[in-house]
Amino acid sequence: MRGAEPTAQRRRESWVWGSAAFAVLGVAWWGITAAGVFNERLVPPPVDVLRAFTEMLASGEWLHDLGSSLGRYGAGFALGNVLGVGLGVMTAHSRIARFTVGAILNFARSTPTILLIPVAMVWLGIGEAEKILVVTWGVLFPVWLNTHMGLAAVVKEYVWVAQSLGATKAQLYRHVYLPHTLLHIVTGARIAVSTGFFALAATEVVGAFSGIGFRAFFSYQIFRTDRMIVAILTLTSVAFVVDRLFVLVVRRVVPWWRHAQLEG
Amino acid sequence: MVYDDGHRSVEALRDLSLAVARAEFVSLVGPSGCGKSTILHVIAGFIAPQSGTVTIDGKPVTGPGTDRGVVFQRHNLLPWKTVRENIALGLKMQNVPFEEQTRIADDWIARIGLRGFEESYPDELSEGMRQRVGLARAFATDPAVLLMDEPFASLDALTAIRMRELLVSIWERSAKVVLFVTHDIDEAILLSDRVIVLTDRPARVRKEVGIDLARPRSYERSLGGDAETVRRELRSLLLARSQGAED
Amino acid sequence: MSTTGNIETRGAKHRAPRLWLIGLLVVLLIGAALWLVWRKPAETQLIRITYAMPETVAAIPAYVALERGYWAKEGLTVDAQMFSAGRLALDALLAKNAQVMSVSETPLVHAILQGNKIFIVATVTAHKEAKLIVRTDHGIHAPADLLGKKIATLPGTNSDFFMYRFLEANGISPREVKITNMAPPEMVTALVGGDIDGYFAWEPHIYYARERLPGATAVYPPGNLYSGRHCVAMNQDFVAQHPEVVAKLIRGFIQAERYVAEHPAEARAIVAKRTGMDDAALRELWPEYHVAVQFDREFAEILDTEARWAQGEQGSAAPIPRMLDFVYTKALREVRPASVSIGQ
Repeated sequence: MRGAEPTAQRRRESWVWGSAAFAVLGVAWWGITAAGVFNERLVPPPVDVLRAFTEMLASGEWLHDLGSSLGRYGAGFALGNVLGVGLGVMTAHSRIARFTVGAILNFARSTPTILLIPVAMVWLGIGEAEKILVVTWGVLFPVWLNTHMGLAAVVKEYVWVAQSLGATKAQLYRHVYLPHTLLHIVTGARIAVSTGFFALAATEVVGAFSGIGFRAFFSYQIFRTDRMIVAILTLTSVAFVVDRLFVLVVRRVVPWWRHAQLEG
Repeated sequence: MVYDDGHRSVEALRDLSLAVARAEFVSLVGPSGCGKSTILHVIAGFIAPQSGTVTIDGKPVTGPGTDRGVVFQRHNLLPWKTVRENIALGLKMQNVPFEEQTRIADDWIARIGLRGFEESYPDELSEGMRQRVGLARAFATDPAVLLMDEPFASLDALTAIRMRELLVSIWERSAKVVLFVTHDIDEAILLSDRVIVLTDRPARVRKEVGIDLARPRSYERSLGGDAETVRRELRSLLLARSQGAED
Repeated sequence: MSTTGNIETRGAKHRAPRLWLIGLLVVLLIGAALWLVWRKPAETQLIRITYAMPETVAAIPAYVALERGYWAKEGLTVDAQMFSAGRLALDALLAKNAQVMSVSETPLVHAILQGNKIFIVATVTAHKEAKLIVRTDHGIHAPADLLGKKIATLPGTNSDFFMYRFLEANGISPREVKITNMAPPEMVTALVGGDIDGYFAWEPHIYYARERLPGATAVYPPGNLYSGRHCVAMNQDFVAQHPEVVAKLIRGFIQAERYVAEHPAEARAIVAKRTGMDDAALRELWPEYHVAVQFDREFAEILDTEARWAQGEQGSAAPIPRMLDFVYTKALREVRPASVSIGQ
């Protein structure tokens, strides 16, 4: 059955196997550092990283950085999604928009965010606004693209059915376009969760006073590789948690999204 | 009801003229790809003809409307709505009060024999059940005309038989016009008052054949000897490959 | 998307464990192959090394020695890999992707404090290239005006150390200034754009900003607060295995030192070619760099002062090692003993 709710047993299985996989990675990490394959200063053993983490937690620094980063990320993510969906609706439904705005967006989306930081600095400075907008940049492209593709792929029979039932343009959007595309939009947003974090890390390296990306960069510069890894792992973990929360919220708010896969 | 049709750039149809009377069940039969679906789409208002007009009760058609319901072969139901929500969709969009929507929808659900499935989603139903809901959905808003595009073509034989019987029983109690596209001669004979045979693309009317079987129709009668002559005639019309001036 | 799980037919249950095992074997094989490739090849008779070279004015003698083929004449083939920042060149050395590198002394102090086993085998340029530049049109006319202003620095670098010295000397606590981090090229953009009020960096990043903001800036040179050395560093185990390479490098540097003194214009041209800097900038900054292959007494003090500061920056509780233990004077002492004034 497509899209069936994973059974309790399946979920337990995935937890067990997943934890085992991460445990193996952890052991491999310890093994590699113990065997001295890489310079210990460049690849510290897990114990050092753990110690650094407790230091950063105790001093309050870790929480402070987390707060700064999440604030920027949250604003950028929200803005990026709104813009992405809006632009997607525009380029999917207006030929002129597709050829103008769509062409520009398509071209721009291949630009790696990290290379844009200097440009962003010139236009937007180095304050919180610039950081939020860089995150927005990272978020909006996957969302825009998926929204556009989803709308362009709307099954025309659904539109026709609604039209023959007397739907106005707004009703078409409400009952057909948006629900149909929601799955695509959600897919785009999930990708955007991680691209947003990449953008965040890139922008916190310039002109920040706090933040996870800032901490990673700062630690790198003063040779505290252990702290740098704490910061990197923090970023990855946060991205993972946000992604999981995302799935949970979507499942709750949009209970029918599982059923939007019907092909026949 | 009269309509004239010109040809599109793909030359799907050419110089087609059809007239359908009130409460008549008309089938459009023709070889694959001849454009019979296109005719339906034009009448429904989804496509605009390059030349010619469609009028209903003398009024020209400019786009889709609630006076013409549609049933497709597939994709009739919105996958994100339940059975009840799908059936009630047209009513909801016309701002029919909620209790009334529910009453009408549940009434139809009972009539198509799907009681207990009101809250189910389409992907939880079988193909046949979905088509039943699709019929109900189209009928629920009580349109004057029903346009059906091979609605039972992707069902297995048994389910299709039951669907045809269901359709016949629903329609014979109403005063609707049905324009029914099919490639199945037996189906056309069972259901219709008149069968319009179309030529290959670009389609023109090859011949109109009346079905004089008494109503209510039944499978036995439509398969029996009375229908044999008309069946043979339809078969020979369809199998003959000619460019198609009217016989 | 929820993981839609694997569709397991009944027969597959028997095949599944086998496949799993094969998969694991493949992963192990790939891992082993990668390890073999990445492992540094056994170092035997070596006449070819990689020099991780930063793009900085202070590396004058390195560029000259390379360009003029002085190392080749010693029978040493040097492949230079250019890095936009000294820190990156240091990473290359520590990862054993290069056998020698050079950079200002500050990143080396940080690296040593964190236990990296490296040797400084020579200092080749003396300079005071770390400076503070401020925008006078943002109301900064004296050090005290820095209070509450936004100042940029790059942690772990010589200009970062200078910042510490400068603030201390002027009675300013770091908390009284809004200190933000970025790399020097971005500092220039940020200052020009007005997003920061000043920054600590090294040349030519001071020069660039001055050029773009004529009349609106003031530069505070380090004076007595900071003195720096461009140091040549190598991994300790490599030095132990190939002391002759160290000697060849030093001899090449000494010849470069002579060339720079005798042919400054040509030397500038070589630096311009390597770094992409324009001649006008180089001409102006040239007097600030003194090319000399040496280990002078002041260098020992520099190392100790910076080590104490670095320990505070790093927030580590480990005791500061004896910095001179990381200075390898043997080779220079053999080639030109007069240039060595420290250690044993």
